[in-house]
Amino acid sequence: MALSLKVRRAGAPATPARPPAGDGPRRGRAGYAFVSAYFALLLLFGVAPTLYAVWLAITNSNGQLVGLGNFAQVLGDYRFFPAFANVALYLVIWLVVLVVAVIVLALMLHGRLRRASSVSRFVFYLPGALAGAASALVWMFMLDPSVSPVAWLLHGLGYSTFADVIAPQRLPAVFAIMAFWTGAGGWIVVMYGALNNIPDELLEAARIDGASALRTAWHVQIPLLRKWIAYMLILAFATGTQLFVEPQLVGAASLGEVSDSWSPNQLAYQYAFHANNFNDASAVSIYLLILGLAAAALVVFRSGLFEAGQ
Amino acid sequence: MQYTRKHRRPAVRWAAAAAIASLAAAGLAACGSPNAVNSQAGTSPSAASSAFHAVKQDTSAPITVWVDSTRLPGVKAYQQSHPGVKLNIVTYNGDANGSNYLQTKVELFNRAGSGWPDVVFSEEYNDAAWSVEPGIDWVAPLNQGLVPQSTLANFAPNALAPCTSGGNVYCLRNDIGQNMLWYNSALMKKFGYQVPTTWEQYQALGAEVAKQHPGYITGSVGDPWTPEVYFWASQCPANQISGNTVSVNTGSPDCTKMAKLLDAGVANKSLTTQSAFADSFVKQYAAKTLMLIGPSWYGQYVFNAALHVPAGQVAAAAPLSWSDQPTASTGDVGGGIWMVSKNSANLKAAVALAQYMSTDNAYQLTAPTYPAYQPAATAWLAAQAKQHYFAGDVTGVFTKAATEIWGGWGSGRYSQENIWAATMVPQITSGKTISSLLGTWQTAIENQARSFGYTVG
Repeated sequence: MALSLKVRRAGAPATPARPPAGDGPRRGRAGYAFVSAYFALLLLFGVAPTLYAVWLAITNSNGQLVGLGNFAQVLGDYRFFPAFANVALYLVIWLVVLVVAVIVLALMLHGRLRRASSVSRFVFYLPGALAGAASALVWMFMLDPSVSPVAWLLHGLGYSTFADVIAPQRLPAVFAIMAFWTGAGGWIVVMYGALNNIPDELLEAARIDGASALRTAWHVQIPLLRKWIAYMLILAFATGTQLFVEPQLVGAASLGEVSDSWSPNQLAYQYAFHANNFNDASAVSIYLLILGLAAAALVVFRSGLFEAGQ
Repeated sequence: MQYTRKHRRPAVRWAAAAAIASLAAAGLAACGSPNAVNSQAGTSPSAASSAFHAVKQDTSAPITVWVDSTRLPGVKAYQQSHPGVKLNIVTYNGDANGSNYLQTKVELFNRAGSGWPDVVFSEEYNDAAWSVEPGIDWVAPLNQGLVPQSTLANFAPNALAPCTSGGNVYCLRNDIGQNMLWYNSALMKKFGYQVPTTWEQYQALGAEVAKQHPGYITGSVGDPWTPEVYFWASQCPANQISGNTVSVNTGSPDCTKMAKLLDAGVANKSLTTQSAFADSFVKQYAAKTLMLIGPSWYGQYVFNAALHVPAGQVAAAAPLSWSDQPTASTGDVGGGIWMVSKNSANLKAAVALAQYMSTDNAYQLTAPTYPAYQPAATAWLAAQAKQHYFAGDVTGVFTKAATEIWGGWGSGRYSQENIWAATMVPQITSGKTISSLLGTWQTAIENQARSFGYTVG
């Protein structure tokens, strides 16, 4: 994967060459043909389930419309706010660490480590290739002081058992570590590619003006990465609010020491499959959808992500 | 470019406004009310299942059976000895440790209208409780001409209680987990200790062990089944279920005296807050476990398989009693069940398999757990004696403990183990006393019960 991600070297034109004018209409139709298969799947497995969830969320098990009744009902559930609070804390830790670490590592790869860069990119990316469940399992192994290869570190921090490590107040950080380990590598590769798109002339001009690497990064590179960072934030926020696998698996591995409704997504799962209430489950999922859309809208409008042209 | 964008925007806005308006209209047009917290609440299970009509039967139809890995060899052996039965064996996690896999699948099968296994083994006897709810209602009432009454009558007292609803029996109990006092007789002898018979003696011995042999333990309070091991035994009214009403009173003296006893043990470190199933426990206490209060399967599973205590050392004593109470009572940790789908096209073969697995000596003698079916239990104990793992004969203790399970602890749709594990264990691990957490426990049970549609009274 990393090998195929060979990005255009800096200095190459940033905008693609225009297609020959005469080819226009035919190319357009071919484009639709290419997209159609994906579009059909998107409708079938993306849009239709979402609409079905919306329908379930405003009806009851007899198919009668109940307005916003389900939304009010789940709002009153004693697990609702703790679940969102858990995930909010997790998101704060994860998003901050993600943004800072990804940018710093990408800048270092791009500037200082150029020679070792392709190997480093591959290594960074590697954990992301592991499926979520597998990486959670790896981390449960890492975080159990009785079997962990870094047991000395855990003991040094004062944790002698797995139960110590996964104490409730540490869970958001534990899940953030797991998410960072699997998710950050891919983003480092993406940011590296974005950095390569910054024309060398700009960096050279900064150098000639006497800017240090730090100043160049802060005043030239990071502002030009703004849209990429916004993009990363939107996607990371959406996946973050949907946290499910990690708390579910750590809960199972610890014989239930993590609540089975730790995250909103788990709460929805509890509604659907423990209480046989698909309508309330859908209401929770719609809350998540609204939250994700709202956050995305905020980031898009603040960063001008979709503004035409540069 | 800018020009067209300006003209497109209002259209998008109109579409959004229309969508919101139609949603709002849907909201206003509400003609029903949200599902009751649990859509089955308030309906009596018996009402839905009193008239059981089997689907069209075909005595040669293949049957699908779901089992866990522990029970798998038994089903395979059945297949070999009954070549005429077409079996489709599926291994799954046995629904263990609150995984809830079975319920997830059954609810999906119910929605799809097909796919149910004909026979299923579950490690969670609570699974019968949701299985008979009118909204799910997927298991066959075995007492209605499927399993002879004489067979049902031979199960240990209270063993079929979790299977029984509205006068019908919906599952066959595979094994029971009556608690007893497990101890290492070699260590007890070496240290010169007497095996306690009351909780008071047990507490005093713990204090002595803490002083004279620090590092050795007399029990664990880090497991999800701490409530069943200690609080059930002390008749703590934390899980009283009658119909659709749950009553919880963890402030009762029967709860507080046990909490105090456990707190004292944790304080002097004779009781560990580590789970007996954690790797760290095995490392630290394999040779230092003097006693463990736990179910009948601890002997083989914990002492033999996990702690590797050599044969001839592990012994069992009868459940403890309080000195001011004439008789002992004990809890019940786990014990699997066999259920048969009411949608099975071959009930005869399905019931035969479930009945064979839960009652036949051929399988039960090979099982690691104590059979709930009494004739099999007698044979099982005789077989255990021949293995010479335990120091002395455990027959009397096992049989006595099986009759001392307190009947006041209910079997609900929610799991007491999950509640304890998620709410209490992290706090106990972090150093809080159990006495100070009894209120938290009460709230957690009540919240959970309510969320499953029970009335808390």
